[in-house]
Amino acid sequence: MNPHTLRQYLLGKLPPTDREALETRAFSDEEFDSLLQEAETDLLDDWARKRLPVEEARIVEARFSLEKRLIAQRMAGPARRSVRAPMLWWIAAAVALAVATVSYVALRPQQAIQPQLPRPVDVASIDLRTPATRGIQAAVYRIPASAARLRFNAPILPGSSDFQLRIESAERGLVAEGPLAESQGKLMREENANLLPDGDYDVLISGRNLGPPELLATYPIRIERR
Amino acid sequence: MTDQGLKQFLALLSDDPERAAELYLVLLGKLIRYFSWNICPNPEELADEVLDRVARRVEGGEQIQSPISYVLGVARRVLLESKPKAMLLPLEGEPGIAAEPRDDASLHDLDRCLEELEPESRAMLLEYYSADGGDRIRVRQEMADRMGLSVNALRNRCLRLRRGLEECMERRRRRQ
Repeated sequence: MNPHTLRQYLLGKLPPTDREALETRAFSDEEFDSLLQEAETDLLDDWARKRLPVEEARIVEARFSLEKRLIAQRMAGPARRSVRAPMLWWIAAAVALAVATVSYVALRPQQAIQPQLPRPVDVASIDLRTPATRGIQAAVYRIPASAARLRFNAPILPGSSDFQLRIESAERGLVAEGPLAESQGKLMREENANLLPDGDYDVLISGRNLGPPELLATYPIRIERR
Repeated sequence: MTDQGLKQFLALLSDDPERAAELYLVLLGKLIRYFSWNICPNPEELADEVLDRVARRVEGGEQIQSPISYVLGVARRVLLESKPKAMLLPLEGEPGIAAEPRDDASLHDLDRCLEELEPESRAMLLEYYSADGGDRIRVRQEMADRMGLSVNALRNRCLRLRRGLEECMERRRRRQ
C-alpha cells in the first residue's frame, strides 16, 4: 500500500472496502501499523508547513486534535537539518551559524533556545444552536476584532450527509459557501473573517438524505466586533 | 471487566503473561487510533468498551480463533453503535463566542512536555521530524545509520516519543 493510499485513509477519502482492508492490515501487521502512524505525523507536518491544498488542510484541522496540530507546528518550526555535512563548506557554514547563535543567545538571554512555535491564527468560534423559526431573533456573536478566521460549528443533523454551509447577507447576497467537515460529533467550517464584517447574516446548512441536496436549517446571526 | 475475564483474555493473547500484557496494551493503542481516525469524540472510552466486551465473551465461553480479528470485528460493531450517539451529542460550551481559549495553555503545556523529555530524546525527535517532503527518507536513513538502528526501530522510537508528548499534553489539560 503506497503512502498516497495511507494519506487518503487519514483524510477520510478511501472507499469503505479499501478502508476496511487497510484497518484489517493495521490490526494484524505491526510494521504496517507504524507506517500508518508515520503517515499521520507526516500529514500533520505537511499541514504545519502549509504544504497541503486548502481542502486537505481544512480536513486536517477538523479531524486532528489541537494537541497533534500544535506538536506538528513545533516539529515543523524553523528548518533543522541533519547534522552530517559531507562537504567542507557545510562545516564552515555550521561554524558560522554556531557563532551567530551563541552571539544571539548571549545578547538575548531571556529567550528560550528552542525554536518558537508560530502562534495559531486567531480563530473565533461561532456555535450555531437555534435554527430559524417564526419570530426568532438573530443570535448575536461578539467576536474579537483581531480574529482572522471564523469557525462555524453546528450539530450534525441525523440521517443526512454531504453537508454544505452557505452564508448570505440581505445586502450582499451570497457571502461564502463550501462543504462542512464532520469532527467529534459536530460540523465545522472556517471562513475568512474579512468576508463577514459586522452585520446580519443567514447561515444555511444543506445536506443530502437519499436524494438531492436540500436545505436542512437556517441560522440567523448578527456579528459584532469587540 | 472481571479479573477472570481479563485473565482469560490475556491467556488468549499469549501463554507468556508479560507478553500478553504487552499485546493487550498494543491492542488498546490500535483501538484508540482506530476510533480516533474514524472521528469518534471519545476514542479511549470506546476502546475500553471493545476490550470489555471481548473479555466478557471469552469469560462466557466463546471460542475465539483469532483474537486480533475478533477484536477488530467488535470494534467495527461498537463504531456503528457509537455513530448515532455521536450525532446527537450537544455542542460544548455556551452559545456565543469562544476564541480558542486553550491555545495559550496548550502551547505552554507543549513546552513543559518537551522539557520533560531527555535532551537526547528531544534532539532525536526534532531531527527526525525536521526534514520536509522528499528529504524525509534521506534524513531518517542517515539518522538510523548514525545511531546504528534500523529505520523501522528509529521510526517506532520517534512515534512513541511523539505519542508520549500528546499524552503528556492530554494529562496536563485534564488537570486544568
